[in-house]
Amino acid sequence: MICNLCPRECGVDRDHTLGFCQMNNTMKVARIAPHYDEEPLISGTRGTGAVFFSGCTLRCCYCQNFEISALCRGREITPYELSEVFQKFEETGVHSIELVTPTHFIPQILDAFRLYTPSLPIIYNTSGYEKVETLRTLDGIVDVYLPDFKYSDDSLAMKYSGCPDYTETALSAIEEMLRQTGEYIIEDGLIRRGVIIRHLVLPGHTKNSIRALELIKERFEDRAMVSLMSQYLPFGDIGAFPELNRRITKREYQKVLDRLYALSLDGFAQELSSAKKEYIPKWEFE
Amino acid sequence: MLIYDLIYETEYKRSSRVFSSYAILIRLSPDENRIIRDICCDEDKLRRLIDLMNELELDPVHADQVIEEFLTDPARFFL
Repeated sequence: MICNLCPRECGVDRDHTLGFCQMNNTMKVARIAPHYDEEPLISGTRGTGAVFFSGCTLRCCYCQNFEISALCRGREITPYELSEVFQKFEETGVHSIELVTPTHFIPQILDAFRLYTPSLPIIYNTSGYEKVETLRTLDGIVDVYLPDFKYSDDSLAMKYSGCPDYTETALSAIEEMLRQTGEYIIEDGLIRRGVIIRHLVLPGHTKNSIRALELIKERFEDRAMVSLMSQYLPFGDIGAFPELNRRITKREYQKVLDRLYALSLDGFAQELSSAKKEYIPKWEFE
Repeated sequence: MLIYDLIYETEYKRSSRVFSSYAILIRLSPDENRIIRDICCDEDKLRRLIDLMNELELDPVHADQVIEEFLTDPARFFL
């Protein structure tokens, strides 16, 4: 399979070669379990059934999940086994099924959906770096999109994620997500359809965050919710970037929060103390 | 008397790994200390800041603000 699923368009035959995502065509997962640490509208009281896929099409240097995004640890799984996972999640009573960083395995995931279509809402958790035509293959399948919108500055995207065209690519992808889902629908305290755009504030880069929020408002008005995140911890491969070797300060976060409120964007903001909690899951590599 | 000192903390657990960072201990009085936690992971940089704070006998009431300024623009501190 010649792969051009993501905007990297590495065009390799992943039947025989690893793509930019560092994966071939065999699905690999690092964790399958109920997850309770997402936004309240997603986790609810019974959690979301999360499948964390190994590999990543973006591979930011500061990734808190770098063991699976960059080191690609995980275990292989077939579409049939994934379809069984969907069924088991339904039995556990979770509110939804969440696919985390699934882009490079979309064909295999669609195979799993053909084998079994869950009755639960499907959440698609992504870096935001997506091709519109690839997202269109998910039309009618995904109920909630959970994209990051990491950078309003492509020079920053290039520096930390090796990605020269992140900003406009992610904005176009989010526009397609909104086209598919429409404006968000919340029932019984849970999001049933819609888009929640996540933004993680990076140390020393409040301008990037403020401009990112402004772009969200300019392009999408109030059609999507925003989830502002303060949980940055200096993990990952940041040796070349000493400016990232700390958490964000109270003042930095307050600056971005002030802009969030001034723009009247609907959504959530993590407490600054969130970085102290264990937001990084325990992986299952066997 | 040295008011400010460096503390090495291991607070967060991530799978089998442990995340460590440096904090500043402030001796407010012989019986009372205060800790400003999880400032950064760069020991050398933080030691230089602490040395400066002790040299200038910085009043602890300003410590939070100084640390905040230091983190956002460390180059300004070591001319």
